[in-house]
Amino acid sequence: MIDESREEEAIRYVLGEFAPGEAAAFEAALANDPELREFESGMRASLACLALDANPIRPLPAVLERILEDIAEADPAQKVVRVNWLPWALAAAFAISCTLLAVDYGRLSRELAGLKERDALAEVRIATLGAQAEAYARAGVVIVWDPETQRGVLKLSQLPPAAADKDYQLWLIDPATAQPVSAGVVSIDPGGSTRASFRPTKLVGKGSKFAVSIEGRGGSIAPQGEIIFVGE
Amino acid sequence: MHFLLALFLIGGAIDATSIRAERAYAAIPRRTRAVLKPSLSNEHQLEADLLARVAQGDEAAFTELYQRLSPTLFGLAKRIMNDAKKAEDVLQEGFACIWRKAGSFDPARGNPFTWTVMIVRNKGIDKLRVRLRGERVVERLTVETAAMTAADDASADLPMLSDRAALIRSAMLKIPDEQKQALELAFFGGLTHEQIAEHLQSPLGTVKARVRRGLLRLRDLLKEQIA
Repeated sequence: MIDESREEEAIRYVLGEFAPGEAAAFEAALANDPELREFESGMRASLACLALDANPIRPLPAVLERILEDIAEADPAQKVVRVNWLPWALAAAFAISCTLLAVDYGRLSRELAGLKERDALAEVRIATLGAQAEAYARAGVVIVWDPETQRGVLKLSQLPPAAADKDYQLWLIDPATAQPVSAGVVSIDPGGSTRASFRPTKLVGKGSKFAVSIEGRGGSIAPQGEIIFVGE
Repeated sequence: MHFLLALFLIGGAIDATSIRAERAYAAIPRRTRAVLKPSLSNEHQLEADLLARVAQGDEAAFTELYQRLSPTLFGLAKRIMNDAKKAEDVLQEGFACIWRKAGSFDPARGNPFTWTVMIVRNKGIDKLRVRLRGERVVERLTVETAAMTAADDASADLPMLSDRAALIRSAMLKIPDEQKQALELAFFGGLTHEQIAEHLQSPLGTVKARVRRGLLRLRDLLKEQIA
């Protein structure tokens, strides 16, 4: 038989009037006292019935929708799917894609560089010019020409010195226009050799031919003298 | 048939005056009133089954439980908060808590109705205490108590709870006014015994006795009426 003060304690506990420490102490007492537990349970049930004394009101449908949304957001199982794994999966996929793209890009870059190199070499022409006169038969004239950049290198050897009032002049002859384009006067050293880069004064086509002529000192706008070397 | 007749008679009694209600309920044959007992047990069992499914994450069961209990729980929240919007917040938090804690419900310690009511009530009281901090609680509760008595009964379209509501309302009619007042201040107003004593300007011992006797009387009446 529990006394009145114990009953009042049980009621205050059910009403939520206890501080946390008091509640814990009372719960310990409840655990060890079946009679007190039964009384507390009866008081709780009776108190809850007071809710039926309030006028029942059906809430708006939106309230249930909000509750279900809250539940869905707070559901850890859904969080795992929606919040935890998806970003990691996307990040992993992104990283893999980046790696593959980087590898592919490197491979493509190397291939492109190789192709450019091969293409450049393919475009570059090497021409050996043949002497048009016996006096120049021992001389050697080689031209490396890049039509893309319109630049070239001329290498001469064993060429006899030009007359005092004469200069050797290099020409590029474009078949499309048939008009020789000067690439400049060629200066040679005392040994009859030279190695010099050149650039024509006008753009010429890919199939242009090369010629070396003897012109007056300082060169000519168009070939007027003897053509001593020709090649393509 | 008897069950429907009982509900009809009880429902009619609620709409009448207090005296007529008491007489109407008393007029129901005891064997007819006994029909209510299995009905309540069935309701509790059904709600316990729903709670067990909710504990497993069954959203459909949760929705069904909500449809069954939300009118009563919303009415409770509205009476505590005296504000529909705040009552919705309380209901929302309460049902979110029910979803989270469904697995901890212990049928040995009470029925689902009691469990859910106390969750929503405590949520509401917590909010009310915060809201009323600094306010003059006493005046507000006095006005509300008077207004509630005159409020319309909106339970006509909520048949599933009509038998339970009829029982409690009939029982409340038999509790002395001073005990009923103390109980309402404690349950709906969230006032402690000390605050009730201050509000009623009565000795603390008297208030404790009124609350205790009121609850004991209510418990006995409910037992008697479903016996």
